Amino acid sequence: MLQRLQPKDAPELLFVGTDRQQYFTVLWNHQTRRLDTVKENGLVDDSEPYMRHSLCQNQCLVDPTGRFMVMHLWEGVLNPFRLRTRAPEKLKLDMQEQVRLTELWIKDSIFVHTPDGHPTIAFLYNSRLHQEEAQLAVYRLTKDDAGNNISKFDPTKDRTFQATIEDHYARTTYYNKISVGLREPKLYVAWEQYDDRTYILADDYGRLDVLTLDTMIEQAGEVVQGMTVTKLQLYSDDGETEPSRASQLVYLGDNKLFLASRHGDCQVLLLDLSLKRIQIIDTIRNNAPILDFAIMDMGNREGNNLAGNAFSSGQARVVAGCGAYKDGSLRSIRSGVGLADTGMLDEIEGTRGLHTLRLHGAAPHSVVLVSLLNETRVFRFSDDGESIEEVFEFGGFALDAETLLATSLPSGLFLQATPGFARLTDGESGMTVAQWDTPHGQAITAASANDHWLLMSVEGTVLVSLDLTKNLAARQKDTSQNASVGIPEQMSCLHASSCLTDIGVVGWWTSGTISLVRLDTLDSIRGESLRQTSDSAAVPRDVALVQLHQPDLSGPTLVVASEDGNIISFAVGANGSELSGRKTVTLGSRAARLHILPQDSGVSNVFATTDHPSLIYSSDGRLVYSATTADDATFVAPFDSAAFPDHIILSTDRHVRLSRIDKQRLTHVKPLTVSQTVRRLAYSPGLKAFGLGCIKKTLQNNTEIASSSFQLVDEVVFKKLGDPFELQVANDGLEMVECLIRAELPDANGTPAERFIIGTSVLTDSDDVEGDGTRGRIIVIGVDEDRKPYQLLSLGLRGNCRCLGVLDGYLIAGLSKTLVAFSYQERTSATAFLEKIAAYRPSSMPIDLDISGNMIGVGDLMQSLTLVEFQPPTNESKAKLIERARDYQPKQDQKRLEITSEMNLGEQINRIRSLQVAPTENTLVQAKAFLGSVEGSMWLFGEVQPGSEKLLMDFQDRLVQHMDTPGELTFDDWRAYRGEHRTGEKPYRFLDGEILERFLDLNESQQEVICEGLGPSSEEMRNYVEELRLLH
Amino acid sequence: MQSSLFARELGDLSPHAFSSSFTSPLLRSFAAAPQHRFNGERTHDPLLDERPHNIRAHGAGVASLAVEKFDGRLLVSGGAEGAIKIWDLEQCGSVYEGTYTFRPVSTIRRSTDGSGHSHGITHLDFFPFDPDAFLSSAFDKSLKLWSTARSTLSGSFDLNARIYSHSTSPIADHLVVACATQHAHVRLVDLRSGSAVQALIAHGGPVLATQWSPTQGHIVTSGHADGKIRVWDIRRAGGVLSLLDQEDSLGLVHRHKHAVAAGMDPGQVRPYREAAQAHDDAVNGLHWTSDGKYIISAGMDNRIRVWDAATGANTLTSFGPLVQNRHAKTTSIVTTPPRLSENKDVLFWANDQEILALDLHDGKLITRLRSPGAVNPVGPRGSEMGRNRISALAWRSAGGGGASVGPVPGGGNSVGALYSAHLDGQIRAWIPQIPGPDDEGGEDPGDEEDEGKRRKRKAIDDAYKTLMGKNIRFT
Repeated sequence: MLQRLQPKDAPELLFVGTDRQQYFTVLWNHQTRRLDTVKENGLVDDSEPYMRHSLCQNQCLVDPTGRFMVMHLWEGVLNPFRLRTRAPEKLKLDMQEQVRLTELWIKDSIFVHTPDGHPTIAFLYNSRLHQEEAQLAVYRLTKDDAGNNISKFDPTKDRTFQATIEDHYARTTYYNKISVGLREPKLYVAWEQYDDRTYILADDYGRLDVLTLDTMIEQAGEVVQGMTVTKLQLYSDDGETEPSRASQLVYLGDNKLFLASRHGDCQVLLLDLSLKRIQIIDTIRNNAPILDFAIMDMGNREGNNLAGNAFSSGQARVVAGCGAYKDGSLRSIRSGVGLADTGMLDEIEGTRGLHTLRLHGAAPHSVVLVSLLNETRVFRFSDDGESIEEVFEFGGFALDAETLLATSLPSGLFLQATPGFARLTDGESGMTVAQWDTPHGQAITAASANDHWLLMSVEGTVLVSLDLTKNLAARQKDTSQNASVGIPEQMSCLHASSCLTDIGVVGWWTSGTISLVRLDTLDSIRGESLRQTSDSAAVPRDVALVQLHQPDLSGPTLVVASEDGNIISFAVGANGSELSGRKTVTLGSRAARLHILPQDSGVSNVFATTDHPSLIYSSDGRLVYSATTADDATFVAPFDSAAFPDHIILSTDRHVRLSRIDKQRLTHVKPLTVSQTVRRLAYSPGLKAFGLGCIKKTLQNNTEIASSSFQLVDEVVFKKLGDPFELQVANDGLEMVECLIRAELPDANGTPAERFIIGTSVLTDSDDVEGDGTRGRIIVIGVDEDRKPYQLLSLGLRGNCRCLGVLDGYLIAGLSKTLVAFSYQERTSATAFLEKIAAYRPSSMPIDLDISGNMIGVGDLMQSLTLVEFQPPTNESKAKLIERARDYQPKQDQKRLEITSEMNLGEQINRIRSLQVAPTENTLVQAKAFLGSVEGSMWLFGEVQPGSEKLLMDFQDRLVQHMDTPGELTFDDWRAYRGEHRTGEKPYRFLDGEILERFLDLNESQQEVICEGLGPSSEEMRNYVEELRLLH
Repeated sequence: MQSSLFARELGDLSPHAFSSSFTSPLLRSFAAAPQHRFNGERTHDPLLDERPHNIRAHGAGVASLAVEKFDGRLLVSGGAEGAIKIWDLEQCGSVYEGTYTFRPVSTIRRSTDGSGHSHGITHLDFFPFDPDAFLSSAFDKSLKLWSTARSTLSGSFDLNARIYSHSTSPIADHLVVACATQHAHVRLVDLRSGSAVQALIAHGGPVLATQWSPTQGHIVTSGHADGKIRVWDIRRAGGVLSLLDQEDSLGLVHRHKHAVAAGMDPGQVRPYREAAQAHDDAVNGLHWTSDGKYIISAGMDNRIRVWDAATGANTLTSFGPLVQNRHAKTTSIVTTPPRLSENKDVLFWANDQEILALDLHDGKLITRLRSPGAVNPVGPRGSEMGRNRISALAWRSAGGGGASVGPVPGGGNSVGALYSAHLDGQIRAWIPQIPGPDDEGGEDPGDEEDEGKRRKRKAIDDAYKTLMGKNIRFT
């Protein structure tokens, strides 16, 4: 909890309370721009682990003067605090005598305004638990006018007002009760004061209302006569984004309202109360709660690699179901690089190409050509970069046509290729040096050049190469008949390599192949088909042969973008005759455009613009496909000038802008609103689709209707496939998705087929256990050739099905109270059967399970973890589930699990997914799993390689000694295990990566102090930590 | 259950609210667990051994029980014959699957040479700070301290009076044991110094119960045969701190104000009424809720009273006419820890042969727990009655260092359990029923149960044959 305190004639204080009952106050220091902790005279932790928590959760209130504070943590107890009034101790908070309350079940409390100005507190409470009717009581906080004695909260003496309230959320004022009926029923969840008479209310569905007090001036002063509640209309540009469900509203002043949400994004709203309008002016992304997620390996498309790709390579992305109900979304989380926009060139629509030129040989870039359908626009940058002007005549270029290619050659000449001709001009005079026109008015469809050659395709059927050093001496070759296949063939893309200057690459439509050709003879050196299976229809759409890796480490790389959104890379031998190391990564659903960005030191990066625009570059000898924020990028060109060093020019459908790539790795989150809770999701690489288990809540005629469904969506842009499969059982009650997995199970012919398996529960109004009705189901879903889901099996259960797993073709299900093994058999293509073959009963309820080999780890609702072994049926014996080990808190004999490391995360983890990443040598930490939390964090869990543990543990121990934290909370206290059984003293054999990375923020002398006597030098430690940073 | 699980996943429900939404109904769903048997005797007939009816923990009757609150793993039982047995409750795997017969992990035999108790055990309790030691008292007038792991005697104190029960403070830094004996004084045994000479002086007949406050280390309450409950501060020499008064429903503060308002000198107002009675008959049960908010007392006037510990006021909770309390011995009272429920704490009371589960605050009966097949239908009713009486209750909980009871219900393999000691020699287990319907044939019928059924069927068949067969002749 956080609260603002106002000491007399002193800057504001921030009071902080943690969930571990640590309390302290901090002060903003303007000089150091840091939070200083106020030295307290002992705000002791008064926690009593045996007390019942208060109904209203931990609440901390400050009175309007900012000097009195009360904390309401435990049922029936109020802890008052008071700021000292005299300097020099006026920043100190004194704990006053604890007060026992007769009002046990307090729903809400607040300091209220009183005419006499005494701190007065109001409680909204129930006199009996689970009672609808609420009561209101108002108490004076202090007994005397000086405010020195806290009152006893005696209902007979200190209570100044009491009332019964029919409606929970109506407000009453100090002396009279005034109520107003709402036109439609609403459940208000948050409110904030706008001014003396105006309040903003937010309801459960993200709708905002304004409440105005109608007052009249009477003799005694201003008296409230009534209230009016009016709807606030949303005013938005796109008409899509709505306010999230508020958890808290904070009025920032200046008509700006901050809407904090735990169910969706947080927003800043601009209020216009005269027009009763609100507008969303800013959004702060919030991933909480992460309900479920799946790891999609984009770089392992051909199944030729057992181990997956590391998250940091950008080839694995996490797709998470985030948010709740109407604020629910799917979020794609990828490792990426930052893209900072530095300037806007112009608003230009329909850009068809971007080209940047250097004026003299090696001079900085200063000219940008934007190619449009029927014209080319030219922008010139002044040398200092301060001014940009559009010119309408440049270097002898034809500007009345689309420019396919424009480049400046080392000789100082300019090269321009348009659909009709290729032309060499002298940059200074604008004279045409040489020109090559297409015969018979044919059109050039593609062009690519290096410093020596220009390679072109004429009408897709004639390949032309022009020698740039010999006044465009041309060679041509008709390629319309593919000699080997004998079918009509067309070129789909081509590329003249700048690293192997005599080699070009051509891609072909019909055969789906690429050829490496000699640019001087146009003879093919080597061909390679992109199609590895007979039903593949891969077509190359763009190619690039570039030096991605350091030249001394590795040769050039051939990158091919295919029609279906894949990026295929090959390592190329020195003379271009060898292609090896094929690797496919999916970056989208449509063909990517490849843009080469030359870097210093002779290497290049490739920017691929597609659904997931990515920067392909080499890091430590491996290719990294980093996500970028340029979601809408269409074309990219390098731009390097004194004013804009290492920049890129980037076009979108609407404008052209200048940006800079920051190689510092970041985590990119891309949300897609689905407007329902994505409670479960499962990824099928075989189907290239996600299965989603959703829960939706809608309001129809003021009645809340909840429903749950299964939906299949495409893997890249989450396009819906088929209709949602509604979960609904015959009897009344809401069927809710509980678990969803993807599995490969044998179909009727015994061949493995992709299946989704759903476990559900049925919520009924009555907790009638007796009835024979279905209380849950197991549903097996198949996907047909049109990628539409259909039901194979529905098994009604008497309880619910909470978790599922597949072990060797057997289905393991965690039901209401038992763990059951089923055998699965598909009899026809549309029906399947489950037969129960073994059962095991854990302590209370199985809540989650995980399978490794024959071992099943069963998470129990109350009693930690058990390991159960599944023994499949044999001729002699039935199938069995045998308990092998259990996590008892004390550890003694063999059947017990031993804790090897523990740490407090301070968050509730909803889902753990393991990662299979190919082990790399010499890494300190091997990534093993992702954890997604209710609080919206994604944690990466890794295992330290044997041998390095001691060093890193010692390092962490030393490092935390040098950490300054607000409130001077210690790392050990914060990360120590804490459970009801026991509380640890410090984290046990666990490293906190975030803390380790903070080593880099320390100054060098501090680093040296930490590393003194540790073994490695501070420089070596810096390298280690840098390496750890590359994990994510 | 499922909706609160979903609300927790969304973060709409706090961890505490989520856990109490599960444990709250659990506390009210206790039922007999006849599948758990405690066999402490060795008979010569193995077949006889397996019949639940013949299984005895202590042949002469079980007089006391205690479960340690740290791991909820060890149970100690004391028999009327003077033996103490230690049981490992984690011997069985899953609590809900199959039957399990516990065997003691060790036995301290009755002995007359001082290495054990020579007379029947009256009370057992674990040492409050670790499960490696426990205390026992017996009719042999001694209080003994034992090492749990080695089952050996660590100390013995002869009090020269029959000890009904004893108690230790769960939080204090002293190691004083308060003993309820046939003497009128509350006898204090200091384990640290070994002295057993101090006493809290009272004159109300035998002390039948003592209990320490779970929040204030020096406050102890005692229940006396004269129907009074005395509150003591052991640091004070000047007699009682207060008496609990059944007539007082206002509490200390208000009473004081009333007296002052009536014209009394504030300095003269006594904190309690000299004639205050807590019960109309002897008080033989005392208990503090683990948050220290309430004191529960049981009297032989067949009443259970709940007192506000802060003010001493009688909360006037009535548990109705069902409550029976006829034996002048310390009774055990169990209440569930407040954190486990949304203000619906449950009081378990050993009501002769049955256990009453009562709502602590409104006094309503939740369930009557009766042992199945306890009353022999064949034998004359009543002959078994006295034999089957419950002498003690023990609540299984874990994580309880520094408190009177563990915050986690149950132990490593259960989600909560209550054990009762019976004078017929059995220890019976009571466990909560997991809410929700049983899954299809949830319990896989094991071979063992099949055999049991077969045997039963055979016995019925045999009986039928004897009745209907040739043996019976009408002449």
